[in-house]
Amino acid sequence: MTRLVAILALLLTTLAARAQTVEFRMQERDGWVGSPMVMEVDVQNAADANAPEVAATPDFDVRVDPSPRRMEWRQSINGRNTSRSSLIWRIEFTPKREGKFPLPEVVLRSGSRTWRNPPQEVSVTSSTSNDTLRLEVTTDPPNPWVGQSVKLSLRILVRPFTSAQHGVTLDESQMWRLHDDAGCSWGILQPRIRELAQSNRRPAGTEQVIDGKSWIVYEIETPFTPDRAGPVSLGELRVAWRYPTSLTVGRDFFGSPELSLSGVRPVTATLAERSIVARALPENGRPASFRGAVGQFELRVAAKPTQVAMGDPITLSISIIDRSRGGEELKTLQPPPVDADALGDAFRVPSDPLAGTVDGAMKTFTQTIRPTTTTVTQIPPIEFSWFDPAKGEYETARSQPIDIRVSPSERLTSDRIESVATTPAASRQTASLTEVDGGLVANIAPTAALLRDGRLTLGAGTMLVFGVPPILAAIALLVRRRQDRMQGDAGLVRALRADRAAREALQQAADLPALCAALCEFIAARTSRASGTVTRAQAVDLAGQSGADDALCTTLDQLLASGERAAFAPARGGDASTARVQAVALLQALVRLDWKRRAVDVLEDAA
Amino acid sequence: MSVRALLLSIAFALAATGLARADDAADLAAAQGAYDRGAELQRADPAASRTQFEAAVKGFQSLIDRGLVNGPLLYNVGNAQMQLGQTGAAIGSYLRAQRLMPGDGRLQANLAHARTQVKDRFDRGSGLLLEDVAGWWHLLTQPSRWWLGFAAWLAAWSLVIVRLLTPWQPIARVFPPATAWALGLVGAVILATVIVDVAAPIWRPVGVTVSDGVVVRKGNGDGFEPAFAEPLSQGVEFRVLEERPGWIQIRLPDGKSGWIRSLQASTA
Repeated sequence: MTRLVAILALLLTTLAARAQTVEFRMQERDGWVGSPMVMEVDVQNAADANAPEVAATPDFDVRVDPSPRRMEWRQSINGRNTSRSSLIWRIEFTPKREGKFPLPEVVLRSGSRTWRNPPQEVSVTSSTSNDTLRLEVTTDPPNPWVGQSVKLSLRILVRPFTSAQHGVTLDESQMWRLHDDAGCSWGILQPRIRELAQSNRRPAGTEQVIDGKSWIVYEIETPFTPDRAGPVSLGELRVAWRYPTSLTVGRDFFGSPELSLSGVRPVTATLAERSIVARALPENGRPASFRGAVGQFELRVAAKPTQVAMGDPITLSISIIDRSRGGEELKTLQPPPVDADALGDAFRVPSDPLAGTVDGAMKTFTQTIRPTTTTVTQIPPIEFSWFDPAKGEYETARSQPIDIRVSPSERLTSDRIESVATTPAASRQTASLTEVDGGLVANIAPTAALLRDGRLTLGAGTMLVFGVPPILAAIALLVRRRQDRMQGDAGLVRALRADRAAREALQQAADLPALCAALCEFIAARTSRASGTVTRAQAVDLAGQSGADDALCTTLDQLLASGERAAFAPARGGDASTARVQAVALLQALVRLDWKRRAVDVLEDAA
Repeated sequence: MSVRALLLSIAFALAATGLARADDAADLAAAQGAYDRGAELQRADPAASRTQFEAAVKGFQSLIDRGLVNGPLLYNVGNAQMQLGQTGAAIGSYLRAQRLMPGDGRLQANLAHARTQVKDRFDRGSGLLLEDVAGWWHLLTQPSRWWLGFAAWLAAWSLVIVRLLTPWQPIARVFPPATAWALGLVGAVILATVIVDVAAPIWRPVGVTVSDGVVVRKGNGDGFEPAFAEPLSQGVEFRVLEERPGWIQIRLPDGKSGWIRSLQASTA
């Protein structure tokens, strides 16, 4: 007995060992640089196995998924149980260069056994392709001056994908959806892209023919001001696209056909060269009042009040209006010099830097100056200089001198100070009412609204009203399904219309053979047989199979036999009108039978 | 029944309805007139003013008893009760009005004023209440939300039906499936707010004490010990936990509970 158990155990162990297999599955043989290719190592019927070991390779970055997928499969047929288990490891090979080279060796060890993947060569293509995706950057004007505010445009050129199989060309909105946001780097345009994304917008695309080829051109614009001379750094500009390779036709929720991608390949384009060069501002002719403004400007200066006592403040408002096309970045615009050098010793000027306020295309700086002498009669001109990029030279604007009258300062008495301090605020300010909390608010006026029952009840009627639209939709769905089914199944249409067709044929039949032919045609239609192929014997047989009792079968057989006789000997046909009544009665009985469409009949029809 | 008899019955019914409406309008005008007179006499003759306010309450209440339950009428009842110093009853009327016209500024103001007159005040427990959540949807009246939700619901299903029954290309371009889903979702959410409003009095009834010196007991009978040493004043709001003949079990805003007589409370 012990020996028998030992033999059985040995046999079972051997069987188990024999059942253990390893499969190395590669999903694709063609890959792209930077895009991982996946291999699955499927260890079947293994209780446990070590993670696959991959030989070092200079051609790929290799990553083995640390947690394998485990699958169990059980089957029971006629009381016989079979089971199978799988342990699946996932390995990603990311090609580093293009070309054809072998995959590295993958070794899997389980117990004392070792498996190696079969030698396999893969073909890797570069994902950077100027034929599919290109980047261009332009500025308007092309070579800006340092400090000049210009419009910078990034043009993304993508070839529209055309599926010859389906006769479809993806439009610009569909193509934009295929851009790989994670693989893109927008450099200096990042804020503009973020702004577009936050407002659920995207760059507009237009179809253009360039060098005889059709391209979709997406244009993204942003204001830009170069801050140093020489080639302009735009940050890392890289655009990645999931470019389609094939399309498939599927169906949406409503059963309507829709196209979906069945294959894509990654494509990237980068802008390496610095094609935009900023020009340095000339040193010659640079005015002393120049503070870095580039563009075209207008200067306005106002002072208030113009009649003051010595030492009292005069508010000087200096407005600089940007007249240049595109607009200067006013936030960084520096004020003109308003200091003791510019205004002279007659005014005391604070040394604090001026912070202007921007309102549209105007920036206003406010400075408080105090006359230090009564002899001063004018605020001297304020000077503002800028570099005009259109002319390529410096310009200077000077305001008109502002006349002022400065009186000697008054010495205030204590009575006057008191009278100023006690002036009622209400006499100087607008009235402000204080709301009183609490108290009742008035009644609602007696209108028809007060004579209605305002309660909303959710009863069966309401439920019915809300239930009708979904029910109608369900009916519409059934109608749609039935239409779809009937469009694709001529046999079904024929079977459904067989009753009406047979009645019409019986009414139009001139003799007994025609009546019998109409009945046989009805049976042929209901059993999906070809028209005119049902014989008398088959008709009776099919009626019997469909539940006709013996009496009905006999009546049918007799009528069809009469029809056959009348076909060969018209004189023996008997009275057609009596036979029509009998045929109509027979048809009514036949319509009530449960006719089955048998698969074999459908196949015969098809043949 | 002959056709003539049927027509006569319908004519009588219509005439009766018309007469009843005329009576209702007259009673409403009389009640409002009494309220206005009461307000006019409030300083000159407080006793006469009180009589007028009582007549106003009676007049408004008779309309409500006839089935004309609406927010403005309950609000007016509450105002008249406030003028009579019946703070608890007034809060009860305002709470019932709030069910029908939530978000009305006048109602909120008078309810807030009435609550300031209540002697016993309780701290509201922490946590989010339905009123906090429902605030945003009370910006629209219940009927407006009802019709808006129904319109969205109908539009969503109409789109689905049209898409199912017509060729897909042009319809799909103008109305993608997401339109139907979005409309259906909007309609369902709006209708859910109406259902919550209508169902709230059933699954979350509230009430208010309408007299002073309400003793909260540990059970539904005078034989039970008082649950608290202090009786409640009128105007104390509570949630109704259970109702038994003549008694209701209440939970106060601070979480404490007990039983009070039904006659000493008004529920909404």
